[in-house]
Amino acid sequence: MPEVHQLTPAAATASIGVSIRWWMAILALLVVGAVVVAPLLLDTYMINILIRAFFVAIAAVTVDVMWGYCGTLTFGQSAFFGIGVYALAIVFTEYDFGSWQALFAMAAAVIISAAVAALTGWLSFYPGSTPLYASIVSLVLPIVLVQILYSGGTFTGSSSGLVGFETFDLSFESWFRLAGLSLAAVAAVALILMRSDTGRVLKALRDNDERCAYLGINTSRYRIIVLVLTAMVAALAGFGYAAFGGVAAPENASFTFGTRLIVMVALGGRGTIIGAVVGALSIEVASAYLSGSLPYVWELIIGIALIAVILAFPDGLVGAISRLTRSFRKAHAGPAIRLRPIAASAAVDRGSDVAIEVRELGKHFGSLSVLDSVQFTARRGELLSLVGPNGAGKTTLIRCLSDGRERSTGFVAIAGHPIHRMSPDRIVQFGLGRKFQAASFFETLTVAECLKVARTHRARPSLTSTSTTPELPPAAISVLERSGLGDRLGEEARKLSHGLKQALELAMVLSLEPEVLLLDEPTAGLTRAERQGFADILTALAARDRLCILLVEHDLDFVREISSRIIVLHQGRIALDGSVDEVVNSALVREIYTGQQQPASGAGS
Amino acid sequence: MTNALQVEELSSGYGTSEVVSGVSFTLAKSEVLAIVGKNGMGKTSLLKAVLGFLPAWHGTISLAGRDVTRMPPHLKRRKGLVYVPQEHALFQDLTIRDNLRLGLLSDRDFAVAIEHVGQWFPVLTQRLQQRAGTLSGGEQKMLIVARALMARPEVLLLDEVTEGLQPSLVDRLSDVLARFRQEIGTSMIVIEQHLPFALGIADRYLVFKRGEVVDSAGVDAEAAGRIEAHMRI
Repeated sequence: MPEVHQLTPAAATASIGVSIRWWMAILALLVVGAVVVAPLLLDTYMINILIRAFFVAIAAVTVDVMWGYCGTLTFGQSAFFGIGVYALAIVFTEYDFGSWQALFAMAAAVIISAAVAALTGWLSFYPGSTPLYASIVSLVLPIVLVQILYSGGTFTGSSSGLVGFETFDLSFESWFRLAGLSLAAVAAVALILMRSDTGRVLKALRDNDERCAYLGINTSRYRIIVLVLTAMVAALAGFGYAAFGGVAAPENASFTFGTRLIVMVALGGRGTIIGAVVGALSIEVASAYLSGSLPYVWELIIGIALIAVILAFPDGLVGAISRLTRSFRKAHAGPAIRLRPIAASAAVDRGSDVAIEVRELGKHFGSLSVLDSVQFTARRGELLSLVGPNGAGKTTLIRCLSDGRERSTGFVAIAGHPIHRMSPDRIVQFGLGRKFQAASFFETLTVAECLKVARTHRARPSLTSTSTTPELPPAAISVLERSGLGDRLGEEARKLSHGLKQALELAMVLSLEPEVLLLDEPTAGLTRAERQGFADILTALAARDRLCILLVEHDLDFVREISSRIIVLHQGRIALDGSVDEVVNSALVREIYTGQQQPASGAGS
Repeated sequence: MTNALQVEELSSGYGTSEVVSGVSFTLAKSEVLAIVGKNGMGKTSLLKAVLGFLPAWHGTISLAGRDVTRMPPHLKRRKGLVYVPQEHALFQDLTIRDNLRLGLLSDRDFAVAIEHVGQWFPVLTQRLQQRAGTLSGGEQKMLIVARALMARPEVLLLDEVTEGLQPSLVDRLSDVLARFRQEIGTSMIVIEQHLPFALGIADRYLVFKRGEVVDSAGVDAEAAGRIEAHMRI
């Protein structure tokens, strides 16, 4: 096996990488220069509008992170913005202006918004929750907050808000530079984070939460952390907004403002960060000018313009521009993608070699019993096939082994660890790998990126840099080589054929370096050659790497060729558990399964 | 006699990449054609182009002698062209009964149709009120096949229909399909990796490679060997 696979010329890509970095640096300098110089050129009215717009744009960036990258459409960022606004207004009104008070108000804004976000996140992102559910929770949040503000009497200023408190005394130019540079910094940090390996994990969460959980990623924790961080940033934006304006109004925290942030992101192009900035600035500036000159119809005009833009450019203004530039850049080769093999981690000797232990397992839906008193053990190095008629409970059994919350009764241990009521991501830490019946992967990521995400729990993803070099164990590399996926690492996963998708998912699961491998009909829809390849890989994994493999399969020839033992499941119970010959030729299997009167024919048929 | 389905010089693809390149074939009434080939060679895309889910860039498609190249998929369905996709294309939250009802254009024939389903797959009619999403993978496959057969199609396109079915059901499916073609003259295209099933019911086969037909012949005793030889390359 070669040390490093190199699929595009390294020299060319290295120069592209360097030139991109240079361009980014030049762009950053230009932005900073523009922010410093602009207040000298613009009129006071425009400066005034832009300062507010900069703070609003920071909130819009947090919406883009939540919606564009993590896939949660959130109406709630306005609530965190509002917490920042009111933290400042209340502290300055109650305790007067001063540097200690300012620090206290800022700390309050950050801490309260983080606490509220943590609570909201805990409510929104429990395992198994849907993105729609999280959106609805985010919709409730600003409504509740505004009600609290309304009922706060003189403390919150009720519906008229708080005005007339003393605040920072800075010149317009200084405010402009402060707000502009803050926005540039937030946008730059967001861009770097979202393009890093960590950002890629977030995109993977957006694409396929379940697959992430079965790759050992604690999906709820990731989502809650992102929500807490974006909430703190939005609160600081609100803090700046109120410090500049000297006003706090319930509208700053309202659901309407939350929706406007979404519109800004959609207009600019979601999932781009820059789009959020462009959308926020253009809507804020246009609104300010139009509301002065056309006081009654300006909202209608903005609404119609928005619909027109979104119909013409479904991926927003920035999306449309980047599509245009991409068609010019087509000639460039993509970044070099390499595979780096790593040494297989030495199998930990735990004394016992029982890999799966199941006792008295039951699964009931009401009075309907899907699995009943299922009991078996499987050892390392064993290749155990699970067969049975359609609807016998095979997939349900796999689910009960890989998710502690699934079974109704009984005991399950994986590699010696009882799984109690644990979620899949924790059971994966014990050495479990599960491949689904229908290939499950990350649609919008490339093959290399999918593999990279699969290594998340072994190699902590970087926050700043992005690497295209998945470091994979030998088992995963051999799947990539045999299937031909190794030559297509840069392709988007959803464009692969059925067989390659199956191979990709297997490679992802093997990247976990599992000790117990659960496979649900891995050969369905594969050609005979692909099936043979699969058989070779699986037998090698069991024999050489001492994996325990549990396989659901209908192809009895395939089962006979590779299994060391077969369990027959029938109507939720184990009907037979024995060697290949005992099971395949038994009368019971012929009767309930193959429907043939004679013993199944040989492997060559 | 006009062919049930005739495809001439059909080309199609995604975006700018061509995945079906100038494919021609005919399907006579009550004929069964197996399309075989490695994965990723464009077999499913060919069916999608015939159905109209992918645009025909070039070439013509006719159903029973009538040009339907530009006809949208739902109108082709009314002309008797029915598709069984490889993925579990079900309404997960509807009951088995309602999923089956959607297979017919009118409720009038439903009572008779459901009796037939009971003969093919009794496990479905015993549980008509159960939600389709709660069925196991193989049972969902049965439901998709039953829904397509209920429509008594003129031309039936089957994409990896045996995937996930237990061996005895695969045998039963072969019988049911054979009966359909005898009794109502259904023509079929079968995309299949499970060669014994495909060659058991097909009259002819096409070997598909990179969007093109590279071999085509009648099914005889040596067919399996010839196909395996193509698949190895």
